[in-house]
Amino acid sequence: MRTSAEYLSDLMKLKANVYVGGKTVGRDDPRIMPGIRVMSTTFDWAQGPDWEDLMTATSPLTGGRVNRFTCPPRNPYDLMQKQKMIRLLAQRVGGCIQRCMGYDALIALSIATKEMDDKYGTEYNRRFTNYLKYYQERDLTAACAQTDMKGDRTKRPSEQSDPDAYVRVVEVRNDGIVVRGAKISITMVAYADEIIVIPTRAMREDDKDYAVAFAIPADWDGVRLITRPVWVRERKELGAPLAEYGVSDSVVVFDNTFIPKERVFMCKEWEFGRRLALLFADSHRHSYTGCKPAVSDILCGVTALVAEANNIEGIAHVRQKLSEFAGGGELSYAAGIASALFGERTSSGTFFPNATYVNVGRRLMGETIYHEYNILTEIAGGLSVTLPFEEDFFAEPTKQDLDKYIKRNPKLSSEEQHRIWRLVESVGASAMTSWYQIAGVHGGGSPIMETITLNAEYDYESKKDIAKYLAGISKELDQSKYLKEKPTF
Amino acid sequence: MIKTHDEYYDRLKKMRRNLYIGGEKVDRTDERLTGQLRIIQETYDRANDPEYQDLCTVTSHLTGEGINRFTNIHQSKEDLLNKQLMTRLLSHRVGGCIMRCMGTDAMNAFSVVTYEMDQALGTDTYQNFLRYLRYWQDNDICANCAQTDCKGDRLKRPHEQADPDLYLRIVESRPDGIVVRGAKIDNTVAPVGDEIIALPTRFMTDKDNEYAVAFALPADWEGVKMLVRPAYHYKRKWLKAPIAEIGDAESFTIFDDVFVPRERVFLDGKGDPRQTPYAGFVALLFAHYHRHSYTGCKPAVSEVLASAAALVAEYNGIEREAHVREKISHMIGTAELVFAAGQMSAYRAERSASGTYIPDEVLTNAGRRLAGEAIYDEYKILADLAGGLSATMPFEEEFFSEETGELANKYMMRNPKISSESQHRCFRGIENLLVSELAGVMQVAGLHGGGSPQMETISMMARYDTERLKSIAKYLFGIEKELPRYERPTVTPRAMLERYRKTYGGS
Repeated sequence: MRTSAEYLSDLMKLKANVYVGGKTVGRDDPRIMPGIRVMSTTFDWAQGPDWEDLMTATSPLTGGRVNRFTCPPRNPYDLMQKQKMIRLLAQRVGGCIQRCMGYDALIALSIATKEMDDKYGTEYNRRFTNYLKYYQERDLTAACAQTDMKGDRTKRPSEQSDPDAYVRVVEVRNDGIVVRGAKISITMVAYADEIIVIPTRAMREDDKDYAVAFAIPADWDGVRLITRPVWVRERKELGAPLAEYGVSDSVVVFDNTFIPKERVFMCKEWEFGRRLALLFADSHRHSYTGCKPAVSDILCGVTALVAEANNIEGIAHVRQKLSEFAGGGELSYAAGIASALFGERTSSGTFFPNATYVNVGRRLMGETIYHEYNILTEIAGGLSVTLPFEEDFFAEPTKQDLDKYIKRNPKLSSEEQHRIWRLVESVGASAMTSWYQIAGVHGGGSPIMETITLNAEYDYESKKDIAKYLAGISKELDQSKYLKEKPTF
Repeated sequence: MIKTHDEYYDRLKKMRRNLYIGGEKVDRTDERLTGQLRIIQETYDRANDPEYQDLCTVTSHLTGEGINRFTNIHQSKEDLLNKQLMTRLLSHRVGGCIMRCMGTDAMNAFSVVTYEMDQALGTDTYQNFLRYLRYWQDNDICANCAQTDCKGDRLKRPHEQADPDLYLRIVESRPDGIVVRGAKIDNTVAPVGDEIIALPTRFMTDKDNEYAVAFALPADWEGVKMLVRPAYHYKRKWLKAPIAEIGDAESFTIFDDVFVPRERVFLDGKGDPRQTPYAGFVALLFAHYHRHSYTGCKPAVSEVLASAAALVAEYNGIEREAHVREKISHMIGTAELVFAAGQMSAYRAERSASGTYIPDEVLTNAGRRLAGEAIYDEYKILADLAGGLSATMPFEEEFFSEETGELANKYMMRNPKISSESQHRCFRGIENLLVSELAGVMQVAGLHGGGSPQMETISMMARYDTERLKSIAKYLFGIEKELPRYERPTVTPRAMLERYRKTYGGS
């Protein structure tokens, strides 16, 4: 397993294909570093003995311990550990841990390549398994590039006026394929080792050129990462972990990019477009049942602390509001646990979470995210957006003024109170705040996408059977399907 | 003429027996109708009560005589505001729906549509309407408005239904009148109304001519059968209270080849298909007036529930708790906002060609929708603050029997400053409001009565000019250089005529 220092040094070896604000920048650009520091925690915490059970797993491919972010779950325990790992790490970095997307892409491909091979006699699973072994041995990180530009939202890929609005195969050669197009909203790709590309939606036969999946190094020839970094205002005196972290998202452009055959995991198998897209989405929604509760945990903690600073922690309405964070976060987490207990062992051996539970869990959090920020703002008051700059707390003569007037709860020092308000500013009123709000709604699939997924698969007929029985329309109520359903331990 | 409750009730007693309840054919003196009669009584009593006369009576624009406001055609914005306030205040007195507004709303819709139809088509419906209105005002008539059809398959229009009678239709149009067949459902007040006013439930297409029908008939007219569902409270023996006296009755009204005399026909698309476009206009205009009425009664419902919540919080000793105050403030907030929407819609009313005032449609719909969305939450708050007792309380008799009365009263005590009887009355009243069959009726009515939130959404989005709305964003984002001054004009259901013209042509 790599250390974070090795990860960083590997990143620095990558070719400069990151573009920010009109310039090509190195991956050590100060605006990219906040995201790298998030990623580093996934290496750091895999090192010590205390977190070993959580952060590592035994790989059936290498036989050794590997970072859990590289090892598809084999059983419900693995899934629960994945969820817990994401929650605990997310608490440490103030939210999104970012490495799960590559992990979820590996999980999706491990299943889909096997199923495609079973149907078409292809060799995607062999290629993928080799790739996975390589990935595990090097302890790699990957971005999953799923969302296409999509052009006119009412048209399918093959119907778009510009055929490149979805990433597509433009040439198939003996040694590989050539692809063209772009993917958007791709988090962490600017500091990933690899890019894994999968389809974003169901395809029809006319769309078969768009049914493509592959993996390549992030600095591969013909790949440009047009990047938008986000970070919070730098601290000068009151350094704090939260102020160190940030994120970058990119438009990933494939400019007639050659993909070697061994790295191609789907090529025109359009009937599997939906399956692969959903496998990733559902696995990623399972990850969200870990990270979104952590976001609730963070907002809850900040709200409780600021209530203490305001000396209103014991007031009934404050406690009721705090309980809403707990209610939302823990319900979503519980949905993740249920999805593991009622998951499915796929033909590939990968254990997959129950789609209903991950979708209801993810949707709940997507629906409540703005409400959670609303609660924080309610309890914190307006100071987070009117707080003077940090410098004024340390310069004469304003230092005395601010030290005196920032005091609320006499049990807390001026610096502690200042740190709390600075935290509220970073969490509740910064560029990162907006990022988390929008990620909270749309990341991993918006609530409407979860609704669509649920409605596609949920068994409403069996619910109607209950009503028909209770109404006396049907004589019997057949519950055998539910009787047979057993949790896997 | 302002009549008394007794005069009204004497008329009912003389009516033909055409009500069907639980397998029996009954007349209007049936005991199960007394709850609804008690509510209607309020509309007569208050018109004869000096304290309320300024609100509940008005001068007729036809005769210059004093009339009950429930028979008035709104001649000004003030009339609209007074109707709304009257609805609210009378609803307080009966614990909810005052029920008589629907007839008023139908009459106001006719006063606009028949006039404008005559102007456009040269028909002479408006004169018939005025004669009918005169009869209404002279006799202080109470009427049901029968709008909702059975509707069969919800995805099909009237003429596409497997059974053509699933919407009320004209089977024959003759010079002396029309013959109608079909049924209207969910007809509040019909069992105790003098009259039934039928009008279309939706926009009618050029193939739905025979469904473009509106008329008024005495409620006991030949061929009219009312299948009635009353809802009422347990009878109180000792602790009589207004809340326990009220009730509801709904009619599933069947028109079994009923002849309607020409002077009582206000829309006849079969005899004169040029009238068909006016079906959507009158349907939506009635709904619109009725939604405006809801901006009076729904605030009252919220206030009735809030008053019970505040009282039980006081008796439970938790009135000052922050969460209690927050919850009650939600109910008050909803009540006031809904009322404000109705007031604002009246301030923005337009005077139609016949002189009748029409409030603004976006605002009445916004107000009614807010109320509809909040209703279950309001019941939840009352249940939250009242606790479980209202659903588990022993019968009234146990509080008065020798063996258990003293003990029951002892253990009802909460706040020592309040008598045991008052505490008992409070929970008994909440039982009526919250866990009775009438509570069920009020919840469903709160959601669907006068149009469900979904219907308000449809009306608002049909009437709201979103293209002009987008001009703000286009300016702010630098897409357009100029922002045309954007003030939304008053909108009314007259737009339904335009919709018909665009879809099916004609003038």
